[in-house]
Amino acid sequence: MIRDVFQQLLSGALSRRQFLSALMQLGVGTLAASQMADVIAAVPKSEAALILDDVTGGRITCETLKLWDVEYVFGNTGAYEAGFVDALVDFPDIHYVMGLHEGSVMAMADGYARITGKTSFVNIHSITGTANALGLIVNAWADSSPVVVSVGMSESSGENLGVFTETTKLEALPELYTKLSFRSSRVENLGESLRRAFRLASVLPSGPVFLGVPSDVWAGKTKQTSLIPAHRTLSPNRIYPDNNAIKQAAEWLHAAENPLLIAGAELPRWGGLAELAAISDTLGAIVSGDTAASRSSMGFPSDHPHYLGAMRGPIESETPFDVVLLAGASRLSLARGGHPLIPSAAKIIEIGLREDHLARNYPSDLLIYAHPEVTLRQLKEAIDKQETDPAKVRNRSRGANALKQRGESRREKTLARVWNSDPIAPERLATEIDRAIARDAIVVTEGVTSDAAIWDYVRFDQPGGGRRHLISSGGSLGWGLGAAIGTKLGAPTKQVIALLGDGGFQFAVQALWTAKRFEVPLIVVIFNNLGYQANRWALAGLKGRAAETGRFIGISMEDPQIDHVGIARAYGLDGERVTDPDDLSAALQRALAVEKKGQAYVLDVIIDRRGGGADADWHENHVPAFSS
Amino acid sequence: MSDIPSISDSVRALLEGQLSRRKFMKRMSALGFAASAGTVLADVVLAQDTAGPDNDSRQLGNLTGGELMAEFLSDWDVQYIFGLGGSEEVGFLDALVDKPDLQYILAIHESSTMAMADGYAKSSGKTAFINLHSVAGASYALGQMVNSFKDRTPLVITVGRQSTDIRGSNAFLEAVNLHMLPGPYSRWNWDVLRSDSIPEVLRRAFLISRLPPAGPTFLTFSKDLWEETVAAAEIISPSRSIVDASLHADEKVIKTLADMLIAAKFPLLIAGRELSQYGGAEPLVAIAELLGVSVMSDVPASHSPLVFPTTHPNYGGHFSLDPNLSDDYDLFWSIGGTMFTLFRRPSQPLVRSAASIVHTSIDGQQIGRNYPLDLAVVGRSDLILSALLEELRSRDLPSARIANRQRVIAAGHEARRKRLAERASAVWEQTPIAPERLAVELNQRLASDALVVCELATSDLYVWQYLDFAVGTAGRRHITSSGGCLGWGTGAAIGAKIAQPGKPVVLLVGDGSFQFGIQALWSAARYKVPVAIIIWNNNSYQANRRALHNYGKRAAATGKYIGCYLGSPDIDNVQIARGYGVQGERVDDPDKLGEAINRCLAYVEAGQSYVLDVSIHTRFGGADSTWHGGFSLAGETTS
Repeated sequence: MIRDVFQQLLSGALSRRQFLSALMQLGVGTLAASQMADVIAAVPKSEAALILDDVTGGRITCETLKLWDVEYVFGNTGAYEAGFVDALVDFPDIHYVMGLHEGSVMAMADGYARITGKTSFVNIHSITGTANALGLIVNAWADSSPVVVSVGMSESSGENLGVFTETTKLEALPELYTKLSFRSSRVENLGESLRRAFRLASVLPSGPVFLGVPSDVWAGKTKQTSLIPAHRTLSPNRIYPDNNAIKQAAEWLHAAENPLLIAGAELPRWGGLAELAAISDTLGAIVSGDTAASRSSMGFPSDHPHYLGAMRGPIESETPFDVVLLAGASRLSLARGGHPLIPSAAKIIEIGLREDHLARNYPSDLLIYAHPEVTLRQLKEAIDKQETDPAKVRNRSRGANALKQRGESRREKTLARVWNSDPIAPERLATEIDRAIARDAIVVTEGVTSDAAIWDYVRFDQPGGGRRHLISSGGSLGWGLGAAIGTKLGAPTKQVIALLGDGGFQFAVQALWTAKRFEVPLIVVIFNNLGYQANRWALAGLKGRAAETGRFIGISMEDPQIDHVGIARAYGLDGERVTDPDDLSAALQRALAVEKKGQAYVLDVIIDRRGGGADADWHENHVPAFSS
Repeated sequence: MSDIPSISDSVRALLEGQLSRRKFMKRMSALGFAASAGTVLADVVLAQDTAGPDNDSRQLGNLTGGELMAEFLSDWDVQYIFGLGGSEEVGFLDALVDKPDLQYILAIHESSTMAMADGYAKSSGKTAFINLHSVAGASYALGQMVNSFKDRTPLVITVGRQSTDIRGSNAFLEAVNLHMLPGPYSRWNWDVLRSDSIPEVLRRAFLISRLPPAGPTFLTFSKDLWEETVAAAEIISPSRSIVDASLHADEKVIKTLADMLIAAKFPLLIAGRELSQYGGAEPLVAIAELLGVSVMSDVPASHSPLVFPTTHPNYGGHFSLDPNLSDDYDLFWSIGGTMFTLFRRPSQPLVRSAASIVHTSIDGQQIGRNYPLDLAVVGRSDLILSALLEELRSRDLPSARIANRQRVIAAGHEARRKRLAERASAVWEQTPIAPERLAVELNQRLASDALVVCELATSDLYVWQYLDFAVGTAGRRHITSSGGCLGWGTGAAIGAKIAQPGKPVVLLVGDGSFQFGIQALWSAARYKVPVAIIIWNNNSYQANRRALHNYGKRAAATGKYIGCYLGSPDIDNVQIARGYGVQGERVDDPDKLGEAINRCLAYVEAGQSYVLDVSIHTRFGGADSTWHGGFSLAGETTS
């Protein structure tokens, strides 16, 4: 019973984490559960502030982490962070999750923040850590992940002496990819700086915040500091839409002949998928995912009769779309220019929180800068107030479903055709994964050219505790493995499976060590096409000399083939390579069994290469060898 | 030396076309010239060879921007493209299909690409050329760009970005102001605006990357600029792009410097990092002998390469490590060094305030930091030292004082070496293997002309103490990185070998550093680049543990050094190397170390890279601790 769970939390019988797990098992979504916990936690806390006497910057940081309910520090530190790391010794409830490369450290924090809705905390070292982490800070920024990135800097007393790793304006480096990038120069101000960092990272639209801290600020002491707790910093404030805008949107959608609903990246993140589904039901309207190039998380129920999946191009419809609702899809990012995806004659309603992406590329006839879940709920209520013509809705619904069925049967035909293909077809691999994994698994993907097969053949159904999908839209590879580890830390009772390309996997292979060190159970499936196929594809598309000669430079990862499983073993994990299509199903079962026992397992599956230049096996070499 | 033709013969052969530019450079290197000196000479000689404006620039038309770029690289004598392309770069990659002389070197992580380029540039004296993909590649490259900038390594970094027809519309991988991404870590950045300006922009990037103080330049190209057809463009040849940036010192300054050195009772000279890039070790040795002065290496935190022959009786080890020797100096001269790159503010000035202070450097930005200067000169180390040597030879020198000083210095040098030797024998039989022993065993076996690439944190000390390095480019050479961004070594060693295929290349790398850059191993296997990789494995981020230990609080009191232990699980570095197609072995037994090194070197000699993962004794604060925080998710039930 939900009521019991609440009582246990209030009486202290359940920790926050146990509370969240219990709620999730009762079918409550992660974000909703986390918000409930926030509200409950806010009630008994009446302290004005935590007053600390004679305290170091390190301890101030640890106490702040406690106030913000931080369970994990994702870190790869150096000497400048000693004051903080030393203070952590006396905070055993804050676990230090160590990574061997700052890229994976950031990716873990990103995954953790996404699945919990909480702000995660990273601790890395100086310019060196910042620079190595930057690619993954870009990714966290792209997907609005709330992460406080704290970075140790050289002692402020050594400022401008040219000390080792000194950097002019370190905080300027990640500036474009953070909500705020600043430094805290005095231990007296550290508590307030951290509070500001957490607040800004958390407030929607959330995102990474970068905070540089000189080593002496962490090591230094102040006589007294006052730390303002999280509940006096954040209110559960969500930006509500304007009533008139909702009314207008409802009228347009109601009056539309053929409305199109687009489920964008903000919905899996901040809610609204169920509301959008309900609107689609009421209107009989087609729902599309965001574009393939936007690399948006899927989450709209795959089985919904009106849902067409990711947008691959303009949607073919007998009646032209006359009203388009872009719900949290404010980016609508395209790989190339070309045909408009949305007919410009249509009225366009846009809902979203990322102001930097609003009203880009397409006209916006009605732009609602507000929380998507709240907005869609109100929109649904406003639409419900209007009188609908059941015949019209039925008609549209049939049309939408027929379109969906055409896509489904196309996919089925493809699947039947490639089922026995050897090397294994990515469509088959995705299908077998779909069948093998839990209905409420979390699927973290970084598949590049294999993403399409994953979207088409793995079913997602996020609302109501269904299967979730996480992907990164930032484009820096090396995200998936770390993100999967962070995801599992954030949702330890869920099955987590990472679907990665061989190229992407290699950008962050070091993260395997972290998975072993902290015994993070995962299933890692490498969609291995032995190269950077997206690049070969692009070269083939150029129809130049590479396409003519079959010489695709800088693509092949053969000669030598990388032994991914051997590398996993070197980090203490087990795995296997799969080449036989008929062994695939059994291999997946073996992976699931190992995961169930509490370890990560790597399945390196050789897949059929797809797209332009797929048959080419040439690769550049150097003859003669560079020998003495 | 006798079998190497003289300079004049080599120049003649170059002019007559019997000798390629590359072979000419090799000969120059064998004659002891710094690679940069060889390049300048080759440029000058070839410029004379192609006199007359007609040959100097090429007018091209009706080719793509990518082809134009490839033509430029051919004209500018670029041999290697260190790359990791994506879909934006296809117009350039496609143009390489018909340019087999432009060898593409692929890495599977941009950090490795950059490190290879850095090692290549440092070892060849040439500017390395890099091609990367969008904000994804540029951001991964940034750490190593920091390293290259700090070491003033000449690099031209080219990065593809979205096509101009979609820029500003939030296309996948769009980045606002991508060309500004390196911030203060590039010498020049530019976003190319037109395809026909590609050769002019590249020319500028190549020139600025070499102009002292050199460093990386960073260019971004919209995808379509490489793909569209250029009606007409001009490539100005390198022979008409020679900038004389010799930066000689004023004659009067040289005379003043000579006066100061002659008048001083005990001058102390620091052989700084710039000698590695610009040369000057040979005249410095002669000056040290002539004047009987002590020469030391720059402070440890500067992570400078050792550029003075370490076995020379006038060599005194690292400044600040051995204060006994330098207590009485009354003249301090940092020759192309830092002043000073330290880890923190020193409790007192490193240079005695009573001493006269001289700083000479190619880098005007670094002169005049932190210390009063009695003579400050912007200039190239090799030129200043040669001019000074000539000046000193024309002077009357106080021979009695010099002889006396020389005795003291030589005795100090001997005492230091004896102390170190005693220390090594005291720990010789230690298990795990003493790092001193590892250094000594390597010293006995590494070739006298080996390029030794070092990326060690706490173990650097043993390399400095026990490995002998010679003068200039002909002898055993020490190559390091001072930026502090780990993951440089493996790539840099591969780049060094590509630059100097005739020389043995050895990498000495810590286990932590190695893990930051393992992906580079794949490139070693792919392109068959034989490098000996010696991992100094103390299973730790020991520099961090030492810092926590010295912090002296809770970690030191409890032995709980968070985030320092790299065991649990132990990493099987040899297995990882095999995963990338590189062989290797683990060494635990001190008595088997020698044979293992021999096997490694023989394997490399035969043409393949080899990893020796040597388990060493952990040193310094907290060394005995293997504590590591932990928790496990294994017990969590999956629904």
